[in-house]
Amino acid sequence: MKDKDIELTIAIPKGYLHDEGYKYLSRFGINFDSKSSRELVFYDRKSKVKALLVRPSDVNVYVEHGSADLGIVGLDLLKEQLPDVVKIKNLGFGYCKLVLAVKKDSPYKDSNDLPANCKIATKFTRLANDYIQKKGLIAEVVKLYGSVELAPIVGLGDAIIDLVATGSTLKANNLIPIETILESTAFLIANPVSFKFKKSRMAPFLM
Amino acid sequence: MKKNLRNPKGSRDWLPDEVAKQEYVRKSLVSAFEKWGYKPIQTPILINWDTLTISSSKLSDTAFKLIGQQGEVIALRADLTTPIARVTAERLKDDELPFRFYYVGKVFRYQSRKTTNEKELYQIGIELIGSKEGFSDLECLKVLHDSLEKLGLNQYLIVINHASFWQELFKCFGETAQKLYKALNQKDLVLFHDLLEQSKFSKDEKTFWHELIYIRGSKEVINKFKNISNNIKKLKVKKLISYFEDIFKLFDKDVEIDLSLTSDIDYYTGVYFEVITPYIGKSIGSGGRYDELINKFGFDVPAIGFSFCLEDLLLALEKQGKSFPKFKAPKLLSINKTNIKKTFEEIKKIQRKSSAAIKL
Repeated sequence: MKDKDIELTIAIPKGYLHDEGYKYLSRFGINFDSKSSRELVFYDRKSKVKALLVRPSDVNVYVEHGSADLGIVGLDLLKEQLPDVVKIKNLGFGYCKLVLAVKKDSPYKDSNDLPANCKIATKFTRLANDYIQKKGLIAEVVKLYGSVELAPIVGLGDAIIDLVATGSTLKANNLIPIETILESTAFLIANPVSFKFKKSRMAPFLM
Repeated sequence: MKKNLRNPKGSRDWLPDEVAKQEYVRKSLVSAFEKWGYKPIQTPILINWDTLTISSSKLSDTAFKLIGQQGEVIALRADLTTPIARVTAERLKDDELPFRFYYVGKVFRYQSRKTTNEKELYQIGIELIGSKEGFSDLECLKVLHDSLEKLGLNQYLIVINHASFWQELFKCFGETAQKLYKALNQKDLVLFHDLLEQSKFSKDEKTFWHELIYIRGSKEVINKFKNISNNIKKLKVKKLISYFEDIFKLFDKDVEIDLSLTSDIDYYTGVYFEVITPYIGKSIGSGGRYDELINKFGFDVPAIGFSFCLEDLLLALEKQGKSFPKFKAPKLLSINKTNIKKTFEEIKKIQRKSSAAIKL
């Protein structure tokens, strides 16, 4: 089988990076006809590309295991999950920040003001624990899977560590960011074996 | 507390049909090794902690550590090259070189890999001890190639690089080269390019590094490698290029140079390589030259070798859709109650050619 005939599978995240991700791929002449929004697999048969529509936090998993050759994923998730994948390039879009945020009316102005044994709610437990250690805080991390902004409101935590793009969600929930932990954009990643085996198919993406 | 009567996490059982598949892989490889005159060697599963740590810091990070009854620290072997290096220095100093050894055995690691949970895996491979870089490298690669062919894996690639190339780069480009190596080892091309942009390298040098990591391929990339190296006067790669050229006198498309390939094992001193297959998203085997390892045990002798992970080979073959030989059911005979002895004699007769047992 000639290299250029091999099918290429790309994991594309739902949500924040989805539209820009599609737009990025269309620059390489890759276009998917998405007829039904319930489908999870899309094809561009002309360019022999298959797209998997997955949850953002699953992109690394599909690529690491080789079920997808390429993936589009935020730097935040790369740093959180530390997958064994090739980081090919920073795509520049999908900018957001991972911030430490507290209630607007709280007395905490930065992380050092947080009381000992405080609770911090987050989806990003590794990054949160790294940050706590770096800052020398004494804090407990509470893992949540979504709507992290709710935690301080109901007293589940003194602070949260979460992603913000525009800041409007924080504002709507009466929260303010006090420290930036990480700035993130979308990255193109590849499975290490695909990166070598499907060399000529990967080549356009390396430019 | 509830008793845990299951297997420890990360270990597994092999039922007869699975053993049959395992045997297929084992026999295929062993027959390829033996054709080249390699002989089996076995070493203990227990290993002194000092033996393990002197060989490789990366291995000791992941090894199982045990405390003996007198408080001595021992470990479960985390690879087979280390104990074979030890026994070679311990018992074979006066024998005629070279030694051709092959091994099949379990290794134990807390984290053998990130994506799965296995803590014990079969390793199978060879060591060619007592020959300096040169024809022995070609033999080792040829044995590797033959064993993959014998196995019937229909898509694979042997990617190679050479430790001396990186030594030369470190010499010419100093600390920045070390950082660039680290970035490649983390598979982080974004960091690699960022470091390169921030570096004080000249324009030519930057171009060299940019192109370097895309030198991946067979014979056809040698000229490209020559061209980009010519632009860097201080870089000496003549010997390396002729080394690669020798390899391509023997191999075609199944072997590729990949100058971006780094190694996770810290004792390689010469060529090092990885075997990959599209059937699974990770390498199924690796190897290289380790001329200084055995000297750590008191015998200054060069060596080269490789090993496969048997479980990964099996997985790749299964994904390929390979059919494996199965165990044949025995012919079953009912006992003749009036003459029990006669039934057993009949069974014996059948057993001369195939298998038979009593119908129960």
